[in-house]
Amino acid sequence: MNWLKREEWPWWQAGLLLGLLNMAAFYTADYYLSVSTTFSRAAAMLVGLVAPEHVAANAYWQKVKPIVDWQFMLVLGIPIGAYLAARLSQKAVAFSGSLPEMWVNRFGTSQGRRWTLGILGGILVGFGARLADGCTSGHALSGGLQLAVSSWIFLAAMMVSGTIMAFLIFRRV
Amino acid sequence: MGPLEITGTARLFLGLVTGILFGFILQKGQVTKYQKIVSFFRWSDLTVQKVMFAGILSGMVGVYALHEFGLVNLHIKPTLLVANIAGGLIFGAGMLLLGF
Repeated sequence: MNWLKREEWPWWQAGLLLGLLNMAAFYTADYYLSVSTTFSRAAAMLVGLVAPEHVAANAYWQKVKPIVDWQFMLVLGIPIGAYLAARLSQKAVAFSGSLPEMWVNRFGTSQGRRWTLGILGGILVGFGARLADGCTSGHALSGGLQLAVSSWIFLAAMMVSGTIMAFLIFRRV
Repeated sequence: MGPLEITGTARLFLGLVTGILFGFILQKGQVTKYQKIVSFFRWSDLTVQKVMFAGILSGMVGVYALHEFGLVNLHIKPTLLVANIAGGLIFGAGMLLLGF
């Protein structure tokens, strides 16, 4: 039980468990750890509230239907699990909105700037994941372990791009 | 043989449990933290690299072993060179800005 209360697990334990969890997903659900398609489904649900005929006419959403499926539930489970993990290692989890030190050192203490760049980053992440047909879970983790060419190309491109951006943005910090 | 066929509400519940475990492991592995994600791209702290590659390697051995026994199907996404590269480039930049 002390193990569950630790704030962090060594990388090899977390990695090994991710591998085991993916095996379980392949076996029990005939699917793999993945996240991003759910955001398309959720977007279709939101658009469907105001313009259902647009959703019905959209070729992509005819294929990726606005339904709650296994992966949708998985995405809902992630924050619950992350909260439990954090809560077990401390008395209370603060949702303070305080900015990370590394962010403050580069961008200062403005909350507005954090939100603006955060949302911009989120849009890029969402768009990139749809364009590449996967994200860090579906492509890097689950596609990577299957030695899928598409996934290793995605992973390489993602790391090159992020590394260059990190150099440009953080080199003076 | 082949993977289990769980359907309906049980399948949704299974997804939720899988997600809770996924979030739990990611949090304990520290890869949900801004500092770790930014350090991943600055190569100043290799936690994310290590967790990711340990996850890929252990899953690779495990899933292909299960596949050898006919217990799982593989789900390999098609290679779309331009889309995979462009999507990856955009994704990486966004991930650095967002930090998660």
